[in-house]
Amino acid sequence: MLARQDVLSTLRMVREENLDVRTVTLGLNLNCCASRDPEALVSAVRARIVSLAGDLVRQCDEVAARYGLPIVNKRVAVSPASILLEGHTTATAVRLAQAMDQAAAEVQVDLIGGFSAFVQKGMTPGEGTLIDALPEALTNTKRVCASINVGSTRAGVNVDAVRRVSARLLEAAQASRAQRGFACAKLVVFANMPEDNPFMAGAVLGPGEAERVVNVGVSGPGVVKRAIDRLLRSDPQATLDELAEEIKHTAFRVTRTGELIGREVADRLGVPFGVVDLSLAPTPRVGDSVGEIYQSLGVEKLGAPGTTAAVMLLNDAVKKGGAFASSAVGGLSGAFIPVMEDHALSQAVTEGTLTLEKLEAMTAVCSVGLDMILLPGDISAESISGLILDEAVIGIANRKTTGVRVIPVPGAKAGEFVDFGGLFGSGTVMRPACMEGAAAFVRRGGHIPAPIHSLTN
Amino acid sequence: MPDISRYVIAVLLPDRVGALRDVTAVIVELQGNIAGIRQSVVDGYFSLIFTSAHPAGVTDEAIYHALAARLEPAAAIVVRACQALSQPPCARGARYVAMTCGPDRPGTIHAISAFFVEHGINIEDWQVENEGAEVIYTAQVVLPAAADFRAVQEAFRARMAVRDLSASICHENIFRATNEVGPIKHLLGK
Repeated sequence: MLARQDVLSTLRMVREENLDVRTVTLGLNLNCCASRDPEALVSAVRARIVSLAGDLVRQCDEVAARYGLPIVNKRVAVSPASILLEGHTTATAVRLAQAMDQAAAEVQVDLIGGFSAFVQKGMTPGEGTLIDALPEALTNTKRVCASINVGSTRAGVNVDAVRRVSARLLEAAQASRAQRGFACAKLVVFANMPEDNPFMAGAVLGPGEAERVVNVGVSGPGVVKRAIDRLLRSDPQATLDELAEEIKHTAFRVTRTGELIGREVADRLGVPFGVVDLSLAPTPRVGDSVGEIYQSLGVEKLGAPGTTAAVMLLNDAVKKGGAFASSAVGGLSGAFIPVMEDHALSQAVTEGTLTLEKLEAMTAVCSVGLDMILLPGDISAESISGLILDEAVIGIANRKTTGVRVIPVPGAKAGEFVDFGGLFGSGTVMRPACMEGAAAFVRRGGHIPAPIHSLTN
Repeated sequence: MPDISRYVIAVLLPDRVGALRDVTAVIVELQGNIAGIRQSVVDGYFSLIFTSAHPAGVTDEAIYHALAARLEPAAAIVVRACQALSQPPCARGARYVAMTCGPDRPGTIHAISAFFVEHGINIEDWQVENEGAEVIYTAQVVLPAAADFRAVQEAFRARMAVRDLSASICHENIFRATNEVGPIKHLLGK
């Protein structure tokens, strides 16, 4: 028989603390769809996605009902589309994206990832084709998300790729001018991109993954915040290590939830279960914020000295709790700081306490990177490249994933408010303290060599 | 003639230290061996139900009188011969937790339990928790395997909504997953 307190505490997590499973992402390998014939290629891709993902949403709904736990998003992540584009044109790449988009609509998922390329060491023609197609592909599709891996601890950073992606990113912003540059919200540039990340925009079925797999992304910022608040009500003098312990315990429970949901969905689909990504992924909704967690910990003004330490404490405690909960932890697994998608972070940017430079410092110890950040529309490609390079080297030097998902808003200046709505949220355009000044460095191109500690053999 | 006589015994009395000791002392004196046992305290009242096996010569009346002599006059005692159940109370199925939350009103427990009866659901445990002006009932129940879970779930929500209660039924695995240590695979029968 279940213990009374166990029942009540779990019910509280679900009913009052916004516990949910943020995403169940079905990974699908599309390599068998390769064809020199563009028509055959796009038809095969669309047919395969519809065939293999057609039951995903229904099974997720059944499992969500069974456990009384919302599965907020059902998504698909495919193998890097760049592999299918060898020998093809950018026009075909756009058609491929549209096929992915149509298939996603047919199977009723809200986003599909995998319009991706791994170019950390060099770039094949197909990968270059995909990158060059990004502006049109992201503007003319609704659900397609793209990710480009430009660096790794093992390989260093491909600066030429960074420059090419930056130029396309600006073009994507212009192409989606009517939507305030929204196309860029579906593109993330990574270093050390994981192969099993279930969260968009970076979800892809990376090299080394199975033919099909279910990966799960849990949520839980509200659960963690309330656990901290409860502890502080009973012990207002609780120390940081005591708070870290509480976060760890909560992360354990959140992770276990995710694995239960993920394994059951996988079983029902007849697909292997992959990983639980135990990242704390906020939404713009009040009470579902990572920024609020830092505030509960005592960082009253996000961006003040001490903020980075709070991020590190949270990220580390989440990982420890999750690692004990499951041996199938993967993906990004930590604390996100997506500015537009977190009302507290967004508010701090608007108030001027949280700067781009502080966010950059936080990315050294958090789960991802500079995420969902609005930039002035007149920022140069070189400055965007500089931002990406700064993030990439934080990642490769610290053996962690870092990413950049920035949106240059055409015609917008720093301080302007933009609202994308839904899970993409809203925010204030922010600018680097020093907007330009390293163009010559970026234009040199080439490669930033891998750090010395990559030589581990 | 069987060598063993089995009885189901229930005791109710105002809670005090030593209640269980006094009851079990009687059982020991009558050479009994306790099998299943469950004790709870509800609003200051001690409630005990258990089964015991005794040598064939020990009658239900003997047990009753021995308990009555040992316990205070306020104690309510029931002793019955333990009948083997011809069939389980409901068809076999999975265990779920049903929950309602809302204003405390007469008739709520009856309404919930009546719903369960209509759907062949057996209640294995029942708890109440008060949160301010609201009452939370949680029942651990067994749904027949043949039951359409989604239909039962929707019907439960709709029925309880008429009484201004929010309601849910969810599989026990979510509670076990969040509170137990051990492979999740085992919860799924793997």
